Amino acid sequence: MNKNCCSKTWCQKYGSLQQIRNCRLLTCIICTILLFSHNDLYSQKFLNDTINIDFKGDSILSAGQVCIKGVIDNRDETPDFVMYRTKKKFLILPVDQEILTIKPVSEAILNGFRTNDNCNLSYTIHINKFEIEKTQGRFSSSTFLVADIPVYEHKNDSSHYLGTLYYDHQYHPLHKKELFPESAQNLLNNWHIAFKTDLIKLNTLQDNSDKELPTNLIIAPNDKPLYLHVRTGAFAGRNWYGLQGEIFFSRPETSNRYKTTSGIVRYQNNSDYESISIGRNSEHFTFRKNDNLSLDIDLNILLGFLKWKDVKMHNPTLYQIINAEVSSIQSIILDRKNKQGFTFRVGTIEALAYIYNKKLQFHAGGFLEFGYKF
Amino acid sequence: MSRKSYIKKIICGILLCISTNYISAQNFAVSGYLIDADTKETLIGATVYLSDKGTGVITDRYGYFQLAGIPKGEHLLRLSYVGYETLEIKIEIKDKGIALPDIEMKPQSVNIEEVTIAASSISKAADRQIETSMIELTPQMIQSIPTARNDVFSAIKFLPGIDRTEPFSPLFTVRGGDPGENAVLLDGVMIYNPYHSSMSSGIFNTQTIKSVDMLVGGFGAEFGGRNSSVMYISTKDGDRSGLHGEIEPSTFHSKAFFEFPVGDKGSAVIAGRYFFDIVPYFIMHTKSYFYDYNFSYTCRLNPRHRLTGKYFQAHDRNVIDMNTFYQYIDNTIGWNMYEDFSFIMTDKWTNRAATLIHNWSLSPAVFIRSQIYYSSHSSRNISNFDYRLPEVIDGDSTFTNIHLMTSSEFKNRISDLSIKTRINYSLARFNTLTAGVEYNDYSFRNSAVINLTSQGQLKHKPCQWSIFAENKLEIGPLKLRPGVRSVNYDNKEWLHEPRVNLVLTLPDEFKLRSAWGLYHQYVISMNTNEIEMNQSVDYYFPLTNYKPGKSVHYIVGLDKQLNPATVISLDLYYKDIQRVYTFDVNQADTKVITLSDKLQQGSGNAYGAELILKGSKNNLSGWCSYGLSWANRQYPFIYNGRKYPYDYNRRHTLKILANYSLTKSLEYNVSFTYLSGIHRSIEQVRQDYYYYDPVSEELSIFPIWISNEKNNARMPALINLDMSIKKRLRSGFGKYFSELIQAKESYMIVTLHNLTFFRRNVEYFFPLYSGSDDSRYLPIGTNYLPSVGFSYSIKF
Repeated sequence: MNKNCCSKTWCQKYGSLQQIRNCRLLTCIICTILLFSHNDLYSQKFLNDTINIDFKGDSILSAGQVCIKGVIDNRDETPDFVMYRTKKKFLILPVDQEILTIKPVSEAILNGFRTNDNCNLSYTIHINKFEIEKTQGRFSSSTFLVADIPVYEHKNDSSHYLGTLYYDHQYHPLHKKELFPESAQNLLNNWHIAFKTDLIKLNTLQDNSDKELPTNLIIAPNDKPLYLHVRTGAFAGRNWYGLQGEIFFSRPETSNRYKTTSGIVRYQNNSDYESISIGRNSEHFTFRKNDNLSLDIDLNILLGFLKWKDVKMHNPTLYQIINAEVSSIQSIILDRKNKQGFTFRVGTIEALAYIYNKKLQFHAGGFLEFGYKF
Repeated sequence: MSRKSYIKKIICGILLCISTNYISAQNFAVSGYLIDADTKETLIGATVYLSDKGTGVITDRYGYFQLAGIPKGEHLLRLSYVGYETLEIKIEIKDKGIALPDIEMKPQSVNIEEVTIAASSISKAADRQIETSMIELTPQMIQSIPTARNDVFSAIKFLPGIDRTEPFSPLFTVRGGDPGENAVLLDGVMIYNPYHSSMSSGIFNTQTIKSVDMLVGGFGAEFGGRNSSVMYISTKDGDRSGLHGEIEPSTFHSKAFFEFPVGDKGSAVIAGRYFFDIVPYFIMHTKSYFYDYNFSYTCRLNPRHRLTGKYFQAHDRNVIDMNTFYQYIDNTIGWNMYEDFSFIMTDKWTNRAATLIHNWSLSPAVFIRSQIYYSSHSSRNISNFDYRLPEVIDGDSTFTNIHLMTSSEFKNRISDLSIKTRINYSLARFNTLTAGVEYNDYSFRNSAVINLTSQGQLKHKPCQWSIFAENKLEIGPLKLRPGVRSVNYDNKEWLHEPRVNLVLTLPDEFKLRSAWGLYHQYVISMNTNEIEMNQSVDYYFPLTNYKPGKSVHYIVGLDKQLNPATVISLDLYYKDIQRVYTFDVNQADTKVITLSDKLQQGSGNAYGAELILKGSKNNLSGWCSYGLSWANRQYPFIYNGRKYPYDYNRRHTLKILANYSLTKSLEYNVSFTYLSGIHRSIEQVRQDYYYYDPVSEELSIFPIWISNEKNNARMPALINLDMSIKKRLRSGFGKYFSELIQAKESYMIVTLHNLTFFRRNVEYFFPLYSGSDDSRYLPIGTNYLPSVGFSYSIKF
């Protein structure tokens, strides 16, 4: 193909307009360079790089009957670290903001406990993870304190590992306009109350073994703080089939009902088109029945690209290359509680697809999925 | 230092040099490899300095150094490298030289962000600086360029003197040379067409690259066969401390790199990438993808012998079928505008390379590197444009089935089996002799079909012998390297290529560089840019019955070290292109029988100036370069033999790259380029060729635009501004994944492309077939909208 070009007349006209644009552009660039080259404009000086939270430990609930021998902070972060937050500088540039407590976390946790050395029964607390996390759901966000606290019991002269307390302590703001430092402080104090309650329960087990263990205490020696789930599934219905890949992380299960989110990639093939779509926050509502089986209901919103099979027949437009889909899978999962291993899922799937200027498409079928939990 | 004492030093040095061989008997050499203490990877460009003698060398591309002319006794060696703790070693020379065991250098305990992108390439001493026009690119520099997408070929286009050719093509031109005049060597293996069609990127996974040396002119006698430039890529040997790697996961474009020890003496690297272009698959119903993978194994048999084996393969399939897309557009706008159009382009390429390398430290003063390799490339590129015209009545005849079309199919296959060896002999502290011999056994197959007519085929198997020798001399502040390369191609006469490089250190931190060299090229590239929609590969063609391409380089450069972290350089160059070839692909078929009949010989020149400021200050680092250039060509059959501006010459180029580290976990990169437009010819007349098929009653019309003047207009300038943000992962899936695999670093990189989208850079002006002057052309650009790209990088 011969692609020679450009009459001089055209270029001259074009060139004059470009000169004006070039001048404006160069001005912007020079200003940007000056902005970044000046020492005083080091970004963190315009945005507080650290927020200090006044967390000294809860002082409402007394846990004086529980004796703590020591608190060991095993984290890689500084002793007063609780969170990294990303804020936007100049509306577009992301910067990290550190949230710190005014006292080291290990000291604040000790508040309310007995700490002298002359105890027949005492505990050593390790902090493997202690961080405030914010998760962005589909319609709202949630703030959690995620903590992994291994507990060692010392009785007379012997010590043994008791288990690890796992927390995904959710915080519900008291009012809508609550500022973050206040929310963080309330969250930490609320958590500390829950933590003290758990240790009090552990302590009273010594006198009365009929009492239940805290539900978030996991005793298994091979427990992991984080599990990676990788799953591959297939589904089929009338004139419709597809494949799905799913990947997500989960924390150890501390209750029989919980919610997780996963990312999914789905390939679908029906009589009209093929599509590939992605869903970032697929929500799983899981109800555990026993140590091996769970009931799972998931809701997905996916966005995808379509490849129409017969373009001449369907006459699709450019807008009809994209589709949005809502789907749900109800299934029974074979997934051993808090253990690594293979997973298996079987159930039903329903999907409702929207394509611009076309009728809503509904599909239903059976679903089968294999995976591995690392 | 005064000028007189300076000149005296140079004269004394020259006299001293003459008697070098007679005094070396009392002096000895020290040699060895410098390696990273953690990964055991060799370190390129580290400084080895003999404190008491005030002299030093730099480790070469293999991490090896030889320091000769050391008298008996105790000495202190000082070893330094950017990002590593300086090391001092005491050595004692008795009756012979010392081959040191691998010297481990510990990385400094600083965050990687504090090693600026410009730091590692700032002037150091000795060997590597004897190359007059050389720029070193590190993986860190490549990663810091937003639009480079972690690709070495995209990154080099931010260097002065190097520019792209067509907008969709990965080919590049260096200082006014043709795209086919650039050699790319991967650990000494010549790679032919080292590009991927999709994404216009290179076939090398940057994760495996240790360093890239870009020699843009005046290169020494060690390299030959190309007239413009040499890109030498050194890859990693593998981490011997444990399993490490890097993964960049994505749904449609992913890459992974693993390096690990093998036994006590070995290490290996496995890397791979794949890309699947999802959007064209859905919109155009075409499958475009590429993949590449490479393996490497290095065995350190003992301190003197190292054996390395490498294998590399890449495959591309790129299909652009606009027909389905045209239907979508027609359906969307409600017109049948594209009903009669058909445009299809299909590219299929495969690259393979395998090599075995033996490094032998024969003695502290003698180092021998031997290599055998096989490299091949095959491509088949088809393009077809078809426009069905409405019914045409001509006299008593009515024509239906009329197509206005242009089509081409180019096939090219080259394979290269080579054996070469190179010996380094450190005669004295200021005298190093390098010599080598190379044998290449080539195989070529070419064919072309243009507008349904075969343009001939070629099959040829030439061989080539090359011998080179060069002598590096250090005479006080002067470093001089004269050399010669002699080549015998296809059993013809021996042709000699003398070359000389010099570097003169001047007072006040100035450095003068100069080079002169004669270069021949025996394998050229067919130019098809006037036939194909987009020439994306070099179609290699052997000059069997023709004299080789020939050019002479004259280069002068001046550097000034403004401070330890900043340098400013000015290069002036003149390239006398005495013999160059092009293909007259539009010759009438009756005149030609073979492809070689279409070859036309011409001449040309290229000259210009390049200014580059490179360095760092506080948290800001990067470089800014400006180039001013002219390039011309002259062929008997073009423009009646008159000189005309070279197609890809860009008069002014301004390239700025800045890296700003806001915090330890956040880094911004900005790249800006201003490139003058390339030349184009204004169409004057359209000439149509007719092809009538009586069986199908199809009449095909092939239009060719004729110009009275060659390259008499310039395209509008291209301006691009891109930005990327590299942020350490602090939350989300990426952070959890890096915790799970205990990753050392995990980053998210957000790239904002085309921030000057409002300017709408025009890449092509397609001539239309009717209309007034103002609407004679259809301007088409490639970047009309800004875009955002996300990628993750996890190193473990």
